[in-house]
Amino acid sequence: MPVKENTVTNANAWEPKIVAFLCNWCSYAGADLAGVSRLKYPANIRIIRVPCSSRVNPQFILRALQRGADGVLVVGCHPGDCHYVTGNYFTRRRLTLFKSLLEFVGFEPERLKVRWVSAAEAGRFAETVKEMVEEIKLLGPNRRLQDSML
Amino acid sequence: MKELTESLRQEASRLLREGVEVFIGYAAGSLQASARPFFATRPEEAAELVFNPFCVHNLVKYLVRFPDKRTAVVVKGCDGGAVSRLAEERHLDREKITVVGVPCGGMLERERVLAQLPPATRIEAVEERGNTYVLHTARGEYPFEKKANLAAKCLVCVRNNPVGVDLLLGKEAMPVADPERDPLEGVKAVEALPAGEKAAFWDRVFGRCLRCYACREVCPACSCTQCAFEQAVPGWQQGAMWVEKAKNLPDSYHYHLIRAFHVAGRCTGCAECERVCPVRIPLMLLNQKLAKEIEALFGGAPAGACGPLCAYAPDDPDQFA
Repeated sequence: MPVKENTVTNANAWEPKIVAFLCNWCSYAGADLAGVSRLKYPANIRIIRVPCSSRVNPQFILRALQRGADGVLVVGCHPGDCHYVTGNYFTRRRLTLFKSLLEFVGFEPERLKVRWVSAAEAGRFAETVKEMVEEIKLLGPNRRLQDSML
Repeated sequence: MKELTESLRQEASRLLREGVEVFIGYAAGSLQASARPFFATRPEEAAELVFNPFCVHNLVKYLVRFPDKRTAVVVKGCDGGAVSRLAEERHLDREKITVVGVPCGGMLERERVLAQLPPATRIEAVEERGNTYVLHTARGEYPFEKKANLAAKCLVCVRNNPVGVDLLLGKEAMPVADPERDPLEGVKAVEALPAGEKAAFWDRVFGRCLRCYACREVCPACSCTQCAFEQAVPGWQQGAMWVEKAKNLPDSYHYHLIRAFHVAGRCTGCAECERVCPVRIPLMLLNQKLAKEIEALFGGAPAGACGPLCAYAPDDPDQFA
């Protein structure tokens, strides 16, 4: 079977890579609904399903950025709707603080985005991805934290 | 300083006779203008104990090495928080420890002292005269004004007298903090830099990190029995260490951001990480920045033993909505 050509119009155009951590209960279902509803959003995200947004250790974020991601998106249930009752309250504290730390060391805070998306909010998920891809395109590739071996 | 050292020796020898197995304090260091941690196990060894403005170390972390022994430890005001930190996290059994508090008028910056003292001059005694430390040597007296010669952390210190101790020695120390100096001036200076200069500043700072992990070893809040950066991983995950052993900038960023984040809300502000750093990385900037943000974001909420990141309030500020 012939391999299909890359559909990117300009082969040299840089496209951001975004690692998205989606919570199993709301956001992953929201992304699924976006797909089922045939909503369009850029194909720049690589989704990783996690049991809860609070599973996302800040080290995951740094590791993703080190290994070639240009941005990291963390998506969880709306506060109060967590499947584990309180998980995303901890995420909220943790990542608010972590983001301010990234900013403090001179890192573009836009590279880490956190959003609450419920299983019914397919449109919001697609919008979030579109918005983030645009922001990262403006920032350009992440070279600051990338491992030199890549 | 002489009376304080005397009463320290008396109390130490009494405690050692009354069943304390290890008394952790300071003794004169082998180098000029220095002190070293000293572990007295017999009452007669108490005569070697000293307290002077070179006793910079926070001795509390040494307690973790003696989990089954009855111990006593000398703490300054800034070290006191470390005992409750480790006890709250159940690394220490507070019942077994006698905390001996010493009032502290600030620690002298050793480099400044050495620069002003003729080489190889033995310091015979230290006297505290109001806002000045006078070093008595065979070649005469050398006064060191506190404002100009104290360590940076002491110049903004308001914890001169330890609290929550079992035994408080000496006279109450007068505060040395300069009320006009902002303890967060360093943090604010970095915050005010444009993003590009911030990046350049931290690239330079983290670029010199040797990854010796001294900042972790000395930290009373870094007390995990197995550190995230040294996890033994099963065979199929051998490549999955968080940071490589080799020195490189991205991994140094990873290490320092995560180290600061792991102690966020639990840092006791003793600034030992910064003192032990062989390449002078201003680690307290990160710790103070996080403390400042925590206070601003989640200040009012009560937090348990593991700090404000193990707690939440439904009405926390939400910038992700």
